Amino acid sequence: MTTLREEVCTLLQEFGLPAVRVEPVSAEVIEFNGLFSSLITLINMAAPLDHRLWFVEGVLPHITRADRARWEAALAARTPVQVQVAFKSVDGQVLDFEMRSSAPAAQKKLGQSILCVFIPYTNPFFERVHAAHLSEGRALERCRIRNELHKGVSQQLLGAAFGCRLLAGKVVKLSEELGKEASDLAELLNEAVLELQNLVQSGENQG
Amino acid sequence: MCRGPRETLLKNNFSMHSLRVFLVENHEDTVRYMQLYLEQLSYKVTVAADMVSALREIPESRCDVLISDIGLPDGDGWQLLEKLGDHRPQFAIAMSGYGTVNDQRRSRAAGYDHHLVKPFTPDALVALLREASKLKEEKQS
Repeated sequence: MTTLREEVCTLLQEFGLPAVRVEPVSAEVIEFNGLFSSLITLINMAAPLDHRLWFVEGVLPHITRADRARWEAALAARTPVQVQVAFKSVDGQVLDFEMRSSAPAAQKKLGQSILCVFIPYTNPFFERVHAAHLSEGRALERCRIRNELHKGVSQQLLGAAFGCRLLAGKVVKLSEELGKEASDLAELLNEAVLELQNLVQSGENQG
Repeated sequence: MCRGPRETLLKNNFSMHSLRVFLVENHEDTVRYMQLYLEQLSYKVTVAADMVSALREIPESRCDVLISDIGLPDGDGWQLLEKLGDHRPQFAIAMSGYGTVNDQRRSRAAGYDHHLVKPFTPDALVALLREASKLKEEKQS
């Protein structure tokens, strides 16, 4: 059975908000949702981090010294706090977020942890994550169709094309007319083979 | 211009005499129909379904042409040609479901004369066999 503690980041994901739960002292990550993971990946693509350090190395360095002091003081006093986090993506774009943090005393059911939720200011972060997910999905689907074509349809059509040509060669000895029909059928299959070949090649060109 | 079935058959039989073909393919239906069709065109065809059998049988078969699938259950067509060493036939055709520039380059580097992307038409294969036949005749004369 899942507890509220395990569900909170998932719930925030449903609201479209990146969220992470960290240890109060070490700030090591306890729980996170997919949007937070995508955000960290987006800004640390060049050097992937251990997920436990995502907050310490992926978030804290992007908070100003003054805000960080304010954040630490508020959490020590167990009061909610809001600070600005200015992430920089690998392509140099600045992604501004407001990080709202809640201390353990404020949410007893969440146990000994700090919940941090990221709310975007003006940057189209969600559109970027959404586009990245869509693009990944499309690539996976293209790959699946291509593999199906290679393993299944292409192979069967190849056998059928040769089988049909073989049959045409046999039938023509029995009847010129039937042979013509069989040959036309073989030609039709030939065209199907060429169509499929074009399809496979265009799929490969799209990567 | 449309060609009649008998004419096509005669055309395909032209100059196809005595070419020995070794076919390596593990798809049962494909290998069966390819073998029967090539035999109908008067080629002498030997088949193997995997790399180990092919390595064992090719030296004895003294084939002129190797037609091999690249994806084999116990290896690949590129390894096959490499392992054949001195027993390589004088003409080799690779067949593969993958036809990127890289795949074609790799086939060439391995020693294949041509890389056919599946599915291909029987005519495409026969055209290459005709080329192999011509080469053999040139070497013999």
